[in-house]
Formats: sequence, structure tokens, C-alpha cells
Amino acid sequence: MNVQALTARLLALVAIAIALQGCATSVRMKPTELPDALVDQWPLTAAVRYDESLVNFVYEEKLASGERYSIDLGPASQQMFRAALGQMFETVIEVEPDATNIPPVDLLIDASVAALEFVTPSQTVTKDYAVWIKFNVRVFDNTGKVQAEYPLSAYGKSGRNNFMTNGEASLRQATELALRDGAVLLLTRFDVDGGLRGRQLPKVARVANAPLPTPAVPVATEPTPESAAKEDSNGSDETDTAENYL
Amino acid sequence: MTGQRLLTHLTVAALLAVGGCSTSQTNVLNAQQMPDYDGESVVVLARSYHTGNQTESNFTDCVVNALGNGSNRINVMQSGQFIDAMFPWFEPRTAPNDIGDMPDLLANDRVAKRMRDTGVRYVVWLDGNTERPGGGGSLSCAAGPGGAGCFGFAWWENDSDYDAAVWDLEGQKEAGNIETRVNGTSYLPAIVVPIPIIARTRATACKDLAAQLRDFIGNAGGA
Repeated sequence: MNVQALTARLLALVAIAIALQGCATSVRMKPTELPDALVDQWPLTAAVRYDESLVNFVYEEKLASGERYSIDLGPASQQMFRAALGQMFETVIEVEPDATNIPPVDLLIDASVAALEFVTPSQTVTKDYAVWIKFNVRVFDNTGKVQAEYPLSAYGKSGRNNFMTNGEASLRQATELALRDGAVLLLTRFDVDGGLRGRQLPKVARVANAPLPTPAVPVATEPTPESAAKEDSNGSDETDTAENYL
Repeated sequence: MTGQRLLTHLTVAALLAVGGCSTSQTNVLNAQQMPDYDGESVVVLARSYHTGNQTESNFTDCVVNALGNGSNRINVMQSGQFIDAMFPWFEPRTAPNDIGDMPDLLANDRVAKRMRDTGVRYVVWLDGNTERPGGGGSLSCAAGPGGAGCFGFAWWENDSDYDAAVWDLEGQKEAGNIETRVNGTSYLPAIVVPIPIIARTRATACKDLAAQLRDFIGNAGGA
């Protein structure tokens, strides 16, 4: 084999490698911080159970055009929840997904990633990448009853402004914006979506040092040995929990 | 050969003479009486993509740079810095759509205080984008052992339509609207070497809009 033929084969291999590389777009998200939010903090203690999907979620798709995409959220979505919930509640504790012994709290929040979708400029004939991330949020009150369960649909869009912007950078930015949008939804709509709107906030009572409101009409339930034991252990100081307000 | 070269030169000269031209129109609408500019800060924001196609970020950057530079420059706060400072109330999902939404937002003491701390008096909302409504022609290129070259002719139109709504936060009113429309046609003739003759409609729109904004907010350089 002469040098010319060898060079031609090498160039062909390089061209194929470049072409294959061009068909795959891979994005791995890094945790980012949120700015200080201009929202009132709930004087509540919330426990959060992060599902495995929030810590390790990878979405892969091969489009009809043959392009392959991979979006690895990594710990970025968990960090988003941490940052938002940390600004929303006075105290936030994290518990393991399979934890059964949860300390007394006002709320328990379960969070998971349910789905991720995206569109590319070639699909929409625009310059934009758009990303949707659907989180599932379940909120339990301090008796363990489900208070709210809702999908939190976050959206982000980012465009390619010029030839120098590559698809990976735009897709990453769209995903970052979707995660930030998720935080915005938590910060601005949790009172409605999470079932807190219209409830008496303990903050008011504490600030005014007024007598704490009592529950309206107690629901008559058959006491179980567990609930009786819990009531005993809580003692008379139970008025300081959110049960009286929520 | 000489005839072909002459034809090439004539074609290029003709295209340079007529190509890449654009028409521009800028109007100020519903303008209110503006107070004397006293160094207050301005923030330039793109309308949310939740309400349609968002203005290109490089157009927003161009307007910001044009306002913040030059002899009669205006104090411009970076949009990212402002959005972070007002988090989460100027995000794509939560940003006010209308000046009528501002009283509710500023009723929150923390939001009002933060707004005062930023020193921003005017919010300029940019809307619009640049589109390519048409084009045509044919251009092909080939490369071989003896060299490479292109032959053909392509053309395309660009329409840059942008609006800027100016909100006066102190007066809690919309101070005025400025709209810019720039249309242009670009050409790409190629006889061996492609010669792009580009109508830079977006850059022209940016320049015209920024000039009008500077006159409108800064009272023709009254700073």
C-alpha cells in the first residue's frame, strides 16, 4: 500500500468519525445555584424524600433523522428542589427514599422526575431547542394524609443565534432554563398546587404572639395503637406544629 | 476567456451596486411626556418565550451595547443581573405582561425595595425577531484534485421587525412604544468564488431602535 492510499484511507476514517460525532449530542447538567428569592418563607418544617430519578435521570432518544440525543440531569434537579425548598420553608430536612422513621414535621414532600421531552430546530423548523421536564410532587400533611399530588411541568427554550452556537450549548441552556422554571413554579405556586392556599399561616400567629387557632372539627377516627403512642409522645406541645394551621 | 472575465466583473459590479440594500422605518408611538433624564438606570428585557417567539439574545445584547456606549449613553443594567435580583418575578413564566400588572407586584414590600435598590426606572421590553420570508436561486460547489469552485446565484430576503415598549416604573405608566421595520435582500453570486452581498437588516434595526430609545429616554442626550 503506497503512502497516498494510506493517507486517503486515514482521511476517510477521520471524516467518518467526525460525521458520527456530529450525529450525537450529549448534555450532562451540573448543579446550579438559584438567586435569593423574593418570596415569604413558610414557618414550617418540611421533610423531603428525593426519588432516585431526581438524583440520576438520563434521557436518551434517537430521532427519525438518525440524530442521537442524551440529556443527563445528574444531581441538577435535586439541587434545584433543595435550593427552592430551602428558601420556601424555615427548616427542611432530607430523608432517604425508603425511610420509615421520619421525625415530626409539618409537611412531607415526595419529589420525582416523571418524564423529559425536547424538540430540536430540525423538528420545528425554528432556531430553538425546547425542553420540558415533568416532575411529580406529592405533599403529605403531618398526619401522613396526602394533601396534594400534582405534576410540575417545567419548560425552557433556547435558540441558536448564529452559526457559532452549537446545538449542545443551546440544548444545555434550554435544560437549565427548564430546571430554573421548575424552581419558579415551586416558589410561586406551591401555596396553590401544594394545597397551602387559604390555610392559616402560623407565622401570623407567631409574629403577633396571638393564641394559636385550633382545628375546626376534629375528624373522628378509630385510634390505633400507633396513633395513640404518637399522641403520647408528642405531648401537649403539639400546638406548635402545623397541624393546627393546615 | 477575456470575455468571460469581463462578464464576471460586470456582474459583480452590478450586484455590488444594487444588492444588499435595505429599507428601514422607525416610528415612535403613544409617546408620553418624558421627564429630564437624570442618570436613572434602564433595563432591556426580551418578552417571554411563553408569549411567542422570543427576541434573539444577540439583538438584545446589541441594543444594550448601543444604549450603554457613546457620548450620550444611558445607564443600562445587565438584564441577567436584574432578573436575578428580582427572582422569581421577572422569569419567562412570571414576568409582567402589562404595565397594569406592576402595582400588584410592587405591592410586595420586598419586591418594591429590591426594585428601588436596583436603581432601575425604565424597563424596555423588546419584542419581535428577524425572519426570512423568501429566497431562491441555485448555487453549487465542487472540489477536485485540480481545485474547487462554485457556480450559481442565490438570494434571500430578511425582515427584521422589532418593537420596544418603554415602562416608567416611577410613574407606573407605559411611556411609549418604538417600532422598527427593516427589509432587505441579500445576494450570493458565485463564479468560482462566492461573493456574499448581505443586507444586515438585524444590525440596522438594532442601530435605529437604540438611537430612538436613546433620544426618547435620554431626551436627545440630555444626560
